[in-house]
Order: sequence, then structure tokens, then C-alpha cells
Amino acid sequence: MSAPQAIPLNERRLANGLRLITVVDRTAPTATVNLWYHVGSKNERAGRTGFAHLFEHLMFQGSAHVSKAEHLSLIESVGGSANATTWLDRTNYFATVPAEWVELILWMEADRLGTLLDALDQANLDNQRDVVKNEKRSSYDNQPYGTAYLELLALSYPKGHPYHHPTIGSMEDLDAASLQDVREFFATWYAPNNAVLTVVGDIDEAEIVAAVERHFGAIPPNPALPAHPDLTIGAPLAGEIRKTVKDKVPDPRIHLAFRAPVLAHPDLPALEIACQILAGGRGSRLTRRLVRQEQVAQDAGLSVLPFVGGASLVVGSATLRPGADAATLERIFLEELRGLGERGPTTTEMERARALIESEEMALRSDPETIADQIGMYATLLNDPERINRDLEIYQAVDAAAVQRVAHEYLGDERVILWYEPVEAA
Amino acid sequence: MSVTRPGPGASRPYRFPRAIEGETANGLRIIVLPMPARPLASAQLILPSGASAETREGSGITAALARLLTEGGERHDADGLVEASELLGAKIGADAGWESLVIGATLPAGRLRGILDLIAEITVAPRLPEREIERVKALRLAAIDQAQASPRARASEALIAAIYDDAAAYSRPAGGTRESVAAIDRTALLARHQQLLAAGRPTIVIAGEIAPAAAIRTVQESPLAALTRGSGAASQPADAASTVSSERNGAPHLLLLDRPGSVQSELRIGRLGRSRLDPLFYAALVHAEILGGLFGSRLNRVLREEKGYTYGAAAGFEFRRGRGPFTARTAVESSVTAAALVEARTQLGSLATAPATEEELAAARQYLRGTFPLRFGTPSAVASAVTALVANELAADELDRFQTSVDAVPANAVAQVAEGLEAERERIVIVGDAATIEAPLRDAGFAVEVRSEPVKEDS
Repeated sequence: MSAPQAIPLNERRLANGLRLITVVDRTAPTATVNLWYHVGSKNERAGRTGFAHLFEHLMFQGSAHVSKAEHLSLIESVGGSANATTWLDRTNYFATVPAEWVELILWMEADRLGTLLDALDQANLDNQRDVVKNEKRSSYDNQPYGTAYLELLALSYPKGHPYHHPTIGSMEDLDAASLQDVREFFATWYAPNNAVLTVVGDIDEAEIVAAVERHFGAIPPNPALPAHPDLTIGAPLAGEIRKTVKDKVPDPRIHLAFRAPVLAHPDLPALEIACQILAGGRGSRLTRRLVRQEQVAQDAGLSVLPFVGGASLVVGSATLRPGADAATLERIFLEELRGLGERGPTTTEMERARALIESEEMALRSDPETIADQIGMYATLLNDPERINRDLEIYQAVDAAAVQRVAHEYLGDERVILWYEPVEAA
Repeated sequence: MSVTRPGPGASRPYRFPRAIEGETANGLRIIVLPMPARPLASAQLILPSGASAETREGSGITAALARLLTEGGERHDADGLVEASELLGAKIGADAGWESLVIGATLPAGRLRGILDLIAEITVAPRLPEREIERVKALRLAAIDQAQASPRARASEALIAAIYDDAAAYSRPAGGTRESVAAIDRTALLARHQQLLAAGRPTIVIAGEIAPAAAIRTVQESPLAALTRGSGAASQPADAASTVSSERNGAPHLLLLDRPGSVQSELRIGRLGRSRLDPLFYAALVHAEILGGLFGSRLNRVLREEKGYTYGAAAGFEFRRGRGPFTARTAVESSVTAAALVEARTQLGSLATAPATEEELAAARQYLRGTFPLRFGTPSAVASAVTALVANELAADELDRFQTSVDAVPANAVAQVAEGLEAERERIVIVGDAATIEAPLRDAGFAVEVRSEPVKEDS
């Protein structure tokens, strides 16, 4: 296959430090505005877990010239959609609208970055605190196996490490959040020099630059932007860490976690391909062995959760088939991981993985929202927005020896094994 | 920063990809949707019969067949098939819906012929190995247990069962019930496979960066040319509503599925909805956005942004060839269950007493028309949308008219949709901790019927 055409990135920095990246893509009559702030749950202080995410909700509660809950309604009423997410390392806000409305979105983003505190009040904080607590109940506490990722983080990172606690936080800490916390967090982290603004779509680049200057130009930077916390992890996991959780689940499920290299590390792409070969679809090693041949599992998964400092995670899971033996499932799962490290992938497995990566890369490039988000990620976390244009080459260059080496190095005996088991019937 | 909100710049036109049609000598219909600058192609073969054609005893067999098609055909076994399709850069898959079984894949456009060969192979002569049949059945039974343990799935399934008559196909999960799945065997699967091949006219939809004439020729020269046009037996009516009264002694009936210790209650309120073929389809889309689709919908605005009862509340129609359900969904903290249910019902009924405002109508229309191009950036999204049109026997160019049809929805049509819904029986289901929520629900005037947790059967 010929190399795909490069995505044409146009980059500049405003005087206040805001990094602006534009990409003209006329395949659809839309424009995507995507803002990454380099702040996430790793920046929360003790006693305020969950705050970065609660704060993200408050960004939709109005600013000087936008009333409560108007932000999303206004975007919908011009024919667009929008959302935001918070994660350990970052927070992102994104909207896609018919291209003619792009300046409205830029104006709204600037209004909340410049004047959020003008509209902040206790009633809005209390309302969104209730909403977020219900989000925690819906997504974690009231779902079978729903707390697994909270457990995995806590078991994989030492107490006090910024990744030890989950982004959703604890109910007690959410209850403790005050207006003063909101003001301090906003003043500290929500500054143009801590943001990357990416605009992709059917746009005129000169018009976008002018509009961004007009709306964001006067927002002052934070000259005292604090350093991010130290993410260094001293010791490797002390061998195998095991835990069993009794929950309202129908069948036992195993979850695994391994510490993996950070986002910037050159081993990460090979590790992602190892996960693809082990658990990517029906023909992968774990699915073949656990689900089809030995028939001890209903499903099997393994994937990389990339983080910027200390260690990323490889997380896996498999649900026991009714009547099958849990110890057998665990033994085979680990056997397959070890097998890839000992003998490496076959030539065909590498060819299949490369062909699928190429298709996935093509699909990604058909979606302006994904393009914008990846650029924001690479600019914010790696200081390398052009990385998006080297991704395919980087993944295609991974060879069988590299896959074998990283599987051996990272998917070994230092690991977390977490079992969910059904509570006994009363 | 300026105080004045920027208005719109010059608007850009949008056109859904144009459908070009062809056929094979045996009558396979071919629909090609060219999408320039998208180097992928998505191919989806539609056999026009699905779960709505099943009896209660035979339910789930089309879904099981779909899962088993990828266990191999004449030339490849299951592993060989995955390998061959992944070497093309594709994950081949098959799925059963209410009206069709669809086999498809997405891959770099230059390799289209390779995937057509594989699709044809498993469609014409699937292996259906005994061992895999047993595995697929066992996994479906385990999935039924998983669904019962999930408050969301359990609430949704119970609501659907309450809306439809037991004899209607739509009353059941499309994957089948414990009893019907246990009864599936190879003979029944082979019979269902033959039925599907004879069910009507098969169609292949191909979207992506591909020249229509070349794509049509590729299909004509592929083994798919062996597929013939069936006699097309009409499927059974699948959507008969339940006639069980929705009141007990004058109070609204509420089915409470006990889940001791739940920290939230899953609320479902539903009624018989409308068909995809209903003349008021576009009005129903606008209606649903105003009521429970938009972030600023009546339901979400009050339950989330005003009261803080929930992370989100939504309502809408599920459109099928028959009359699919209209459902409202939310999960609320246990202690506010009764208050949230009362408020949700008030909002759901509000369009009958307080008609949609001009502002609400404009926002819903513009949201639907503006987000329309966003939904169709990829070849697989375009192919899937046209596949759904084919399954519902709509014209392949129906989506060309989407934006103008939405724009043309008048206020009185939205009111008509609201009135139509009010005329159907309301069903209420809650999954939650009965010890906490039963008494407040009774105090709020509901006739509560409590059902305890299902006991998991030993396997």
C-alpha cells in the first residue's frame, strides 16, 4: 500500500501561550473544536479526589455571557454536539458543529476560560456534585464488576502515587469540594498557557487564527503554572499481588494488570501489537485458547492504558464460563502471555496485525473528531503534534522480535490478579 | 473577549452519498455509495429475514446462526477464515436484527474482491460444526445470566416484555430465551439457513472510495452471483401490544424488580411506539429530541440539571419495520426514586398539555439536520445506514431527503405524535432495592408489584 497522505498541521502560539493547531479537511461540511488542558486527576490533592472531573462538569454551568446549562443547548440548537472527558493526565473538551458556526464555539470556549468564576455559585456546585455522585453510582458502584478499574489502579500504584486513586474520586471527597476549591483549581490550571486548541474541518485557517486572537488573545496566562507531580515509581510490583472481591456478579471474572512503559517510550507500540495478537478478536491467542478450544471463558481481553509518567498499565480480563474451573482459566491466560514472550509471534500473526493497523489508521483519518483529539493528545502529552503523521510508520516498523521482547519484559510475574466472585446466595 | 455572540458564516451544502444500483443475473441487488477521499470500503450483505419472523419456541435461532456463520465455510475453517479476513485488513462479522441477517466487513478499498469471496463462502455453505453450536448456545445462556445481573439490561428487558403481547416477537430479546436457545440444534439451524436464502431478495451494500461501475462488476464476477432471489414470504406481525391493564384499582401499575442493596434505581417507562415506515417518522424524531433526546430536553433538563437526581435521563423511539417501543430511561439515587418517577412522568406527559415551543422545535430540527453529516463520515456508517433502509424496505435514496424532511416537520405533527403516545398503555418498571423504595412508591400512589431476584440455574 502507498503511504497515506500526511495530515497538514498548521501550528502557532498566541502571546499568552495558547497553542493553536489547525487542519483543513473538507470531506464533511463540519468543524471540530478540541481543547486539551494539561490537568487531570493526578493533579488533585489529598482529600479532594474526583475534583478535576467535578470541575469539568462546572465548565458547562455557565460563564459571564453564557447562562447555566446553556453551553450544550446552544451547541445543539445550531446543529452540533459536544462533550468532555477527564482522565488521569488530562481533561479534554470537544464540539463539532456545521462549519459556519465554528466561531461561536471558539467564543464560548474563550468565555468560559476567561470568565467561568463570574457565573459560579453554590447551587450549581451542589447540583453538579449530585450529578457526578450519580455518575459514580451508574458507572461503577451499581454495575456488576463495575469497581474493577478502581481496584486495579489502587493495587498497581503505591499509596500516595498520583495514579493510585481513580478519576471519579470518592463520595467523601466529592462532598468536601467547596467553591474555594473551584476558584483555586481554575486559577491554577485553566490558563491559555496550559491548553492546546485544535480546529479541524471545512475551515479557513486565516479566519480561525483571527477569531482565536480576537476571543482568546486577552485572556492572561498563569505565569506561575505549577510543575506536575512527580510520577516516578520507586520499586517494581513486589511479585504477584492478589485480591478477591465478592460482588453481585453471575460468574467469576479475572482482571489482570501489569506495569508498562510510559506513553513516550519506544516499547509501547510493540506492546500494543502484542495485546492485539493476544486478544484482538476471534482469531487472537487468548480467545482461541480460552473461549474456543478449552472453553473455560466467555470472553477475553487485553489492552494498554497509556499514561505519561511512572508507568502505563496493561489490563486484561476474562469471564469464567459457568461450570468451568477458575484456576484453569488463570493458568491458561498466563501461559499464553508467557508463550508469546518465549516464542514470539508467527509471521502470519505479524502480517495480520499490520493489515488491521493499516485499516484502523484509515478509519481514524476518516473522522475529524478523532484527528483533532489525537493531535491534542500528542501536543499536550508528548509535545509532538506531528506524531499523528508518523504513527502508521512507527507501528508498521515493529517486528516479531520486538513483540516477543516486550511481551517477555512486561507481561511477566510482577502483576496484579484480581478476581470477582459471586456473593453467596442469602 | 467580546460580549457579542458570533453568528454563522456562509453555510456549506451537504449531500448523503448517492446510491447507484445494479444487480446480478440471479437477482442479487447491488447498491454502491461512492465516497471520495475515504480509502476504505465497507461491504454488507443483507438476507431479508430476522428475529421478527421467529416463533416463541424458535426464538434466537437467527442470532445463533449469525454467530455460527463465521465458524467457517467450504474452504476455510473458523481459524482459517479469521486469518484470511485479517490478512485483508478486515474483521468479518455477521449480525442478526429484527428484519435481517447482515454479513459484512470494512477494509482498504483495493481488496474488495477478497472479502466478497469470504462473505459468499460462509453465506452459501456454512459449516455449522456441532461443537461450535454447543459453545454458541452455552455462551448465549451465560449472556442471559449476565443480562439479569445488570440492572440496566434487566430493567430494559422487563419493560419490553410488559409492552408487548407474549405472542409478539418484539416481546422477547432477539437473542432468544433460555428455553428456546436450549432447543436449538444443527437440523434447526440448517432449516433456518435455507429459509434465509429463500426469504426474499438479497442485497449487497458497498460504500467507500470505489467506482460504482467497477464495484458492480466485481460483485457480478464474485461467487455472490450464486445467490438467488427468494420467493419472499412475508414475515409475521411482530408488534402486537399487550392487552394487560396498566392500572390496578385505578392506580398506575409498577413492576418493581428487587435488587437488594442497590445504591440506585433503574427507572423505565415505556409505551408502544411507531414504525420506521410511519408517515409521522420525522415528526417522531423531532418529538423525541424535545422530550428526551437533546441535553436540553425536558426530561434531562429537569431530572439532571434542576434536580440532580441522575447522571442523565433519555427517552426515544426504537424504529423497526413493525412498531418498536418508545422508552424513557434513567438511573437515580435510591432515596429519590419516587420523586424522580413522578417528575419523569410529568415531563413525559408534558407535550400533551404544553405543546413544543417554536424554540424547542427549531433546536430539535437544527440538531437533527446539523449532526446528520457527522454521523456519516466513514464508509461503515454509510453502509450500515443504507443496510437499515433495505431491511425496512425503504428506498436506497431515503437519506437524501433526511435534512429537508426534518426541516419540514410542522408543530401539529409533533403534537400528533405526543397524542398518539398518550393513547397507548404506559408501562413502568424499576430495578432497585425494594426495602428502600417500595414504601415511598406506594405512598406516591403506585400499585407496586414486587418480584424478587431470579435464582441462577445451575449449569
